[in-house]
Amino acid sequence: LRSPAVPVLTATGTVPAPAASRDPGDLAGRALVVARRTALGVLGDRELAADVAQEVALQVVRRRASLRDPAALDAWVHRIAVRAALREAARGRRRREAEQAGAAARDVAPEPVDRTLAVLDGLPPRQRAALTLRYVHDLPDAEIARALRCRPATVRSLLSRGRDAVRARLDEDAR
Amino acid sequence: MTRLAPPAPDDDLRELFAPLAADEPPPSELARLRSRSAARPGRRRLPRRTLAAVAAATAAVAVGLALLPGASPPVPGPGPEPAAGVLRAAAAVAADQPVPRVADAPYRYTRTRDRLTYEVRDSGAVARLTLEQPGERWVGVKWSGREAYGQGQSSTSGDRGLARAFAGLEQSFGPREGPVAYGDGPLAELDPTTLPATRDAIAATLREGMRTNRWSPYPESRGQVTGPPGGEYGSYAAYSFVNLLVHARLSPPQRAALLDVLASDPCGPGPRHGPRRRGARGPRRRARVHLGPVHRPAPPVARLRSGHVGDPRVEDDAAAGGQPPGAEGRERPSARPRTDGPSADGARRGLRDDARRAPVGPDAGTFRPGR
Repeated sequence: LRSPAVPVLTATGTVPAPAASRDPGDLAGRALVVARRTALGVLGDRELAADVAQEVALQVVRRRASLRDPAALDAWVHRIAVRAALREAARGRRRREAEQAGAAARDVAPEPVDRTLAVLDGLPPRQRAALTLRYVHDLPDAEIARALRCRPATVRSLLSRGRDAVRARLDEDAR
Repeated sequence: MTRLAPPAPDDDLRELFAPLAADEPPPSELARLRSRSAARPGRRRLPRRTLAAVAAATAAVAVGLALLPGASPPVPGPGPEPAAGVLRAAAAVAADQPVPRVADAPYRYTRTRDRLTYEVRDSGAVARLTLEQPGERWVGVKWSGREAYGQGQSSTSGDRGLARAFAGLEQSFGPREGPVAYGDGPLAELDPTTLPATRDAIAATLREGMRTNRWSPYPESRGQVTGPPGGEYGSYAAYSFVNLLVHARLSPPQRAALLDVLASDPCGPGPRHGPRRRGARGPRRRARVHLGPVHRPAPPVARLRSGHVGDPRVEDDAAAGGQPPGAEGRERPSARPRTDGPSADGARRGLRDDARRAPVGPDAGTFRPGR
């Protein structure tokens, strides 16, 4: 088993787990973190990702009573977030406008995550989603498949193509 | 073929994604969320949604299709002759079958048994993994609908050492139920009514459309030539043809033309069999094809007590990701489109046993017919 680059944040893991609480504030904060990372990986734009994360976190808070297993919070948030982000990605015009605005913002304040987003830029949204769920949230194929509503074999294909594309870009950058 | 190489380490990718994994929302975002969550009202209960039931096929022809490259060596010629003959006969039958209106039968029901064969070779040694999984699908327009799969059965044969390469693969074939998982396949946005109805024309249209991503769900991808390389493409197209034939609402001439394509030249021009990366070969699908379904008149309209069922897109939009884990079975006795009669379970049994049987008894805890 590989060890993730960063601690995996789960409700039952070793990291402090606000997800185990039914307190709306804790749930919202946790959902916001998870959803933001997912949305940022899929959309590549901070503004859009922040909007999506807000909506996802609000839904989690509103529907918290239906969550019987607190340990499943992250999986639930992953599913909601990735689908919301993909829906947002499908809205081409709005996204392009936001990308332009986001690019301008990045010119002003570059951050470490910008290199990641630049490498992902232009990849199909579902490839980005699969890569994000694997390498940011460290989810197995089956969980990614549930989030993307496809078969695990499709996930493996998405990941394979995504890895190839990312590595090709990294090679180009290295030259 | 060479022995399977261990998967490449992903350290470079983990390093690349580390900044994203460490990304935290600024305090202003948290404050914004808290103020919004305090201000927002509770969840509005969803309105009840009308469900129309699917009628079932009365003419079913089981067709064994060995269209895709599988474990067997390439077969010269257009394909196994018995299968081609059956398909041509089926094409003739399909051309005479009526198709009901969408309003009368919005879903196309199919029952399949997927059989996938994976193969690894190394220096004369061979290992195979065969997986079989029963499934049911209720597919509406644009691949909407529900699907349910039972427990898959797996078996391995051949070299035990090589068979270790299959470890974990069978875990992907457990029981599951959910929205149809067509995803972003090459026919995602296809409107079947725009397809031609002759063999050569429908094959050319579909292959060219798939090659150029014409029906991609992503507008920016349309017109770009992508897809599996070389020999995999033909079998990939054939796989999509089978999906279209089995699940899409085609006109009788279109269905006949597509069956004719599968009977004569399923993989199209180019190499028929191409080993995939790491020596695995493509799946072989055995499809039970329901031809020319003769639908009954519209069944009694029923409404599900919990609401968001019937059209999965409605459910997705409403629930933004579906039912939360752990909540299944409380509000949604069944998430499948209704088939017939007032009981989802009963209707499911009815479809499995006999598509033409009379509606089963009421189940007041689940449905209220006619409301």
